[in-house]
Amino acid sequence: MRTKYKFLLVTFLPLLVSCEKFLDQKPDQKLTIPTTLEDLEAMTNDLIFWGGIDAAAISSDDYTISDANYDGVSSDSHRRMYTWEPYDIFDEGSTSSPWYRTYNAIYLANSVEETIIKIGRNAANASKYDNVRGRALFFRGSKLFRASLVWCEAYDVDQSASQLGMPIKLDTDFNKRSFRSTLQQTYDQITKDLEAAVKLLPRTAASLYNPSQLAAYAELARVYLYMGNYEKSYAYADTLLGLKSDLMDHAEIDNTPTYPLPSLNEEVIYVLSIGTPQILNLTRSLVATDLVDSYEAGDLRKILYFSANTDGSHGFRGGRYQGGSSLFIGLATDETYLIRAESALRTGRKQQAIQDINTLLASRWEKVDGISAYKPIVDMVDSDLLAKILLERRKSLLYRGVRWYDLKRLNRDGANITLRRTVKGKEYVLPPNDPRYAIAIPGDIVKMSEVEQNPR
Amino acid sequence: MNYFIHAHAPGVPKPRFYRMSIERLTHVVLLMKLTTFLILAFSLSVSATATAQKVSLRVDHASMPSVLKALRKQSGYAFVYNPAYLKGTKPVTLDITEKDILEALPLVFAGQPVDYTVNDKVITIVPKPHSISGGRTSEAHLAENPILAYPEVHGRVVDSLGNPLVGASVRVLNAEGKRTTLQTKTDGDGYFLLRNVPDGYQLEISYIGHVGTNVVAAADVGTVVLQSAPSELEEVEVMVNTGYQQLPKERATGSFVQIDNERLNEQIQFNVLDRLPILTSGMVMDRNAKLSSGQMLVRGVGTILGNTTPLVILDNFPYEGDVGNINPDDIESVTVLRDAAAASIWGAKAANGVIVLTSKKAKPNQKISANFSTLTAIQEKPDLFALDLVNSSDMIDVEQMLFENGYHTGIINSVSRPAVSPLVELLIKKGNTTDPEEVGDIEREINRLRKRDVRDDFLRYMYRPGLQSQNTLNLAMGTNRFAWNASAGHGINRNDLGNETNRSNFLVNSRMYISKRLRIDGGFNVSFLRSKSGRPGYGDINAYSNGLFPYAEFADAEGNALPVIMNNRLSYLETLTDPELLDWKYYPLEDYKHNRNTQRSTHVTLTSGLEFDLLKWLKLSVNYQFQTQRGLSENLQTIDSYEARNTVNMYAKRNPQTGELEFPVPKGGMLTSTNDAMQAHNIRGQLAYHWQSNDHEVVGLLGSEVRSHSFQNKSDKLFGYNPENLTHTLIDLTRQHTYFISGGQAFIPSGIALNQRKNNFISTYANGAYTYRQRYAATFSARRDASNLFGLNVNDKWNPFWSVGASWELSKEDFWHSSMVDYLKIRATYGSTGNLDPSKVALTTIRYVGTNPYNQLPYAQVQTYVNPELKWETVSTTNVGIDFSLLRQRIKGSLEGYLKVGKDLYGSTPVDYTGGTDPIIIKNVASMIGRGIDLEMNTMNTGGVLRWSSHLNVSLNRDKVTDYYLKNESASSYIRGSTNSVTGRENYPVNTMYSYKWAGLDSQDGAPLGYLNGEVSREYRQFTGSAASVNDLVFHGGILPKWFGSFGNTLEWRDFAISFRMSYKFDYYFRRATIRYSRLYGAWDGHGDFYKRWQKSGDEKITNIPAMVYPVLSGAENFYAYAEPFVERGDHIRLEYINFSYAIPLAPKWNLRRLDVSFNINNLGLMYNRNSAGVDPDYSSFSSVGISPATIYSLRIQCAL
Repeated sequence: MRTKYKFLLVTFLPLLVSCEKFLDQKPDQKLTIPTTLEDLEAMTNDLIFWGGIDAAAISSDDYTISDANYDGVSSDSHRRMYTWEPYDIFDEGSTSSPWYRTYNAIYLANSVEETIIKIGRNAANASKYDNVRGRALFFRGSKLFRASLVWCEAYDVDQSASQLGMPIKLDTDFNKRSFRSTLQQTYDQITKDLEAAVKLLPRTAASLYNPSQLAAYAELARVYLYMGNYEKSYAYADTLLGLKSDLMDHAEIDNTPTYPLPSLNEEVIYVLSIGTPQILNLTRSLVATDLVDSYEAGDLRKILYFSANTDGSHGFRGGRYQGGSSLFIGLATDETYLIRAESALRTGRKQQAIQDINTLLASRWEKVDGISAYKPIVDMVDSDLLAKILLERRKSLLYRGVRWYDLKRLNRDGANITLRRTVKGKEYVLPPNDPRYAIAIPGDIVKMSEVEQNPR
Repeated sequence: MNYFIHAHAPGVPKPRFYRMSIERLTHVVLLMKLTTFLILAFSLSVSATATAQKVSLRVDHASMPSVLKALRKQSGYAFVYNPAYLKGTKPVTLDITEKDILEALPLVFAGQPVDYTVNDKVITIVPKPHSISGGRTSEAHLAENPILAYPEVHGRVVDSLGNPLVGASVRVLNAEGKRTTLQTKTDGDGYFLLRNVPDGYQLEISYIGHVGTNVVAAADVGTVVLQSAPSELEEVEVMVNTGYQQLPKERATGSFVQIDNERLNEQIQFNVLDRLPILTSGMVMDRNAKLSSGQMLVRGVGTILGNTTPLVILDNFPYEGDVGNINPDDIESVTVLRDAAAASIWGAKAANGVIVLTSKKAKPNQKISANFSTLTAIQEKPDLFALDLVNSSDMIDVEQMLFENGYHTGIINSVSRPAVSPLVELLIKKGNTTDPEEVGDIEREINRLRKRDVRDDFLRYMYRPGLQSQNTLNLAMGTNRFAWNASAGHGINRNDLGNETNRSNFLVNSRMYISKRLRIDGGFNVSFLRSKSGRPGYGDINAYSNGLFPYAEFADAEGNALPVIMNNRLSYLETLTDPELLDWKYYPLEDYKHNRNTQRSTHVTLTSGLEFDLLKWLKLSVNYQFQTQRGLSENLQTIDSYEARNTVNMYAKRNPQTGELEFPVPKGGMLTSTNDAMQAHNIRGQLAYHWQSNDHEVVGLLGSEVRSHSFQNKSDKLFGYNPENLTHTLIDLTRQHTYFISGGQAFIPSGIALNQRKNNFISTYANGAYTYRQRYAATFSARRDASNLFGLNVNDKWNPFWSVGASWELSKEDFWHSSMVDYLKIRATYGSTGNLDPSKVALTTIRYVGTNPYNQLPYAQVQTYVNPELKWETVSTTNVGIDFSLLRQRIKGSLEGYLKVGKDLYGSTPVDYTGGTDPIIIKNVASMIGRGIDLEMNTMNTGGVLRWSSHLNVSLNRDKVTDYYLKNESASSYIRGSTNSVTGRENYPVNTMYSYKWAGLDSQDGAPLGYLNGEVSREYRQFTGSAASVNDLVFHGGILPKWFGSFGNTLEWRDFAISFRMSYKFDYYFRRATIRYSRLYGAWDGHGDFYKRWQKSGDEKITNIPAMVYPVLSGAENFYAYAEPFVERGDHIRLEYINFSYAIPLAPKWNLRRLDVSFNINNLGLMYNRNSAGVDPDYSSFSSVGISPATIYSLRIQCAL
């Protein structure tokens, strides 16, 4: 009998020991509960694939499309953006929804924030720690900023405390109810995150797809320009250009490739793209005629940015800064020059403004005997200079999503620009400061949360 | 061996009907060879050993039979005779010592009326010629009666009331009183006939519920009366195998379905699981709720989003490999565990039911037997013309209309040169010419295309009849110390497109009886699977946007391969004259030859076990099983394949300095290969307790097991690959390359992937059963599982599952005196099982996806979002059943009712994704109940000459959501998608069919009309968008059949049998496809409803198909395709198969125990179809065009010796 029980014991004992260890093995080697800086860095690397929001570029007046091409656009959502419909703009409940992409990125950033605090910063991990954390804050601030440009009215310093902002999410508890903050709170959060990121990020990143300190400066310059805080936008643009002021010499660009502008060229600070919305592609969208006509002789942008169609219309082939046919909506030095020029003029630094616009345009002109044929501005009336800067802004930054925001802020400041489009005989009009400038929030969000729909 | 046979039975009335016994006692000499691992030589003699030659005999007036018996014992010679011949023999007096048998025989037969012949070792006694009436010679007689070797024995078996007992077993006992393999069963009138019964043997006659008896074999046994014995029911002791124990079905309280080998073999599917749904009561193959592949459901769904696949067990442990590896011929029986009492022993994975496969095993004390079966099947080509499609001519008209409207302008101008159809090329050409001759040519060409149908080309060039074969040889034998069986099988399954799977299986199972108390089991099961891809089928060739124009051509009049557009415009490709570029066209007839997928996998299962009787009532067993599966799949695209040529050309780049073309992807083939490896270890230690006294019986189990299952795979891709000498070239994956055509840039996809997964389980379990007086039984079982799932504390990792049950066998009670009901048992169980899904975790987890091409750093995606509220799903099941047998077993069956309650079920639910989660996430969202009835009945409808028996399965299954934690009223989540996702609405079925309310077509323009706030409206986006609520929708019903089952019949006449089986599904809905103009315009996807479309005012009265408009009405297709008119009833009856079989009567000299030939026709199509659209509801996949499976004809020969 005794031996029998011993035998039993020997049989069953192995089943009981090291049970803990056995049950702690990972079920999927690729699956990890993020605990290390490497894990967090890997999470931020995923955000590279997240593009920006295409609604602004599609809603803008940079282009028109023919009726036939309008019919041929497969995305109903894009057709509705084109005609500034008041509601039902975005695909709902889909992972391609820009609302999802914005807040999912913010969730990732919040996950990183929550986890990195547990890891703790020490001498050994300081540079990686700061970099990862800086990326998270950059993403959170930047995503919130770019979302506010689509779904909120233009920031108005006098009314911002009562204007509708974006829902602000600072942790990963998705069960919390969402509601809209004020626009002031939204911009406070944006500037706070980006300014914190400036202190954490390395000056340049290993890849232009990753945020860097330069990217944070450029983004902040943009944020303050839209807020109408020109002192600060000047300061950030100036800091950036002090560190990086490269411009592409357009005279040296070979115009034979379909997309002649080199990818990841020296002007690029940070890459963000919007894929290639069918409605904006080279052959469907036609660059607005007034815009095409505004380029002067010798301006190489006209040659490098546009492909001439047989019927006299033009397609847009510029702005592909990250290769492929995706449209670039990221940060680049040409925009920063324009921001500094505008902010400088608006803060009484006229000479700086003139110098910036001259520097930029000289690099865009053809060369005669190795010297730019551009005739620099010597002096101009302030209002004319401002108009010139704004026009150059339009001519340089078309198809980069910038125009829609400019329309919002310029109309806020009284520019009184009315947009008109004709589709199959029907005219669509978007008067200045129309509520439709704040595009409709996806209906399912309004339904499922306390997020208030924009006034229609 | 030859017999000289003289047999005659004058004056014996022949039974009206008899059946050949398939088992036959013969002298067997076998030499078998199994090439791979066995060489066996075996020789057996039934009567005696072969050594004794000399005989000694001293008898005084002994009867002839007793003398013969003595001689047989001593000599080893067999005597063959009809006892009737010996009636006239005289007593024998003899004294011989150590004489050769051949010398002794003349002395024995001297002066007797019979003579003898000797052949080999058989002595046949024959009457002397003069005693035979008619005076025929023995040779002549032999010619007339070739089969009768030994005398016939016949008789009749009745009960005490004189009623014939049908199917009573009659076994022949040898001189020592042991059962021989010779046996039969009584026919419909209680008669039996046995041939070749040696003299002096006894017959053992038994019948369920009756006291058996032995009678001495005689030519006419007469009428044997069996007394009924209500308390003896051992004959029906069907054993069910739960994977942990074998238990008599009589003692079980749970719900088991047993399917034997015979019935499994009425079907021919290559994968044994595919044979189950139409045989198993309560099981249904659903092809409606999930996409085309379908899901196997046992008693409906018990989960909303979890896995619904039943757990598959092969020989006591979960089968982790591909079930397609298993040779169906190796499967002895299948047990399906349906309720909690049956399945709870399997714990966390058992909520969907458990399928226990048991492979064939030898029994001890069994002579060597060999079984060979061969199956050949041919499948017809599919009926492509059953697809309801827009014909080429009308498609051409549609394209012309689009062309005139400028639809193609954007496409034609695009820098990426997307493909346009040959027709559009012609139209472009036509627009560019004024030459009337050329215009005439173009028009002639268009008219030629109008008459084409690509389906002709598919049937002509791509489809061939499918072929399947399966051959298996099975050997088994056992002594009192060792029993073994071995099988070798080979199967080929080549479908109508030439996709081919080869399967080789080898199996050995053995058991050693070391001592009276110790047994050791060992075995292995190896399968090799090889498959390779064939030709592209209908739907596999896509010119552009997943479509193919109906007038595509694969070959010219001479049969030469023609290119079909793929990705890029043909006319553009023709302008690329650079000789460095490879041919950029796609030739469907050639391409598959150069683009091959091959797969090889090896699956090995090793089992070992030990069973030790610690005490008389306590048994210890330890089992270990190891499974491993290694696979290699390769996709070789040689330089002649379109894919390789396209990839090479796509990245070609002109060097601006030299003007030469450079190829970042070198000219050569591409090889993508994936290696995978699976390993599973299972160890189980178990104590089994069995104690019995007169009135009490206790059976118990206590055990523990550890399982570890791991899986790895690794893929890579080689470029510039040359299969001739295995060279390849490295390419630059780290930077973007420019597309040759569009100028865009992209990374070259690397094709590298790595995965590694591991699941560990530790479980302890116990179960027990107590039976009192063999009629009252109580059972319980309990189990806890722990696993290495993420994000859970060790405590939370343990999950308890349990069940209790009771049964009462009424028919054993003393008061039970029903002459109608032979057997009646009622039983009830209750218990809980779980559903475990390793992918659902309560923490934020990330998954490393690979290297981000943009910065060459690893990147990880969020896999799950932190959700501390997440819990396990549990399903508790109540099952009540009765087992019955009526009218002396003419009707046998069981009727069960069940209630399944699922709690904390995972549901996918839309959430406010401002929180950062995916828009639809999985949470514990609901409770549901499922209710149903399963009836299974076997009846013998007629006895006598024509025996007709039936097998009927009737199942009712209804489920509903009882509680949904998150209210979601949004109409779109009830309706969107190609299939119907689970809908969370209380008191409605789990899988529901909803549709948009239909207001008909507009009489002005044929646009579809719906309702917005009760008003007829065309604001499609409003009433299909987020504003729409489920309350605006029309509810039709469930999408899983409420009633389903099958009805099988077998008719037997003499040695012929016909069986056929119908399956049916009733009371459910499916959504059928219709014309979608966006698909028609964009992908030539033309549903035949096109012809029923609204074309003029008034049509709205006769059709629901909206008018064709260009451009498509924004949002209209999201409405009408999901509206009322396109929801159909799925009710149908399908004739699954007809099986003709013939058991060839055997001549003893063939040395066969069995030789059956059967001819089978499978997939005979629908016998009844409720829906008016004529769509086969099982194959009407909403998103793609479905074709019912084509008919399969097969021939099977089974032979045993």
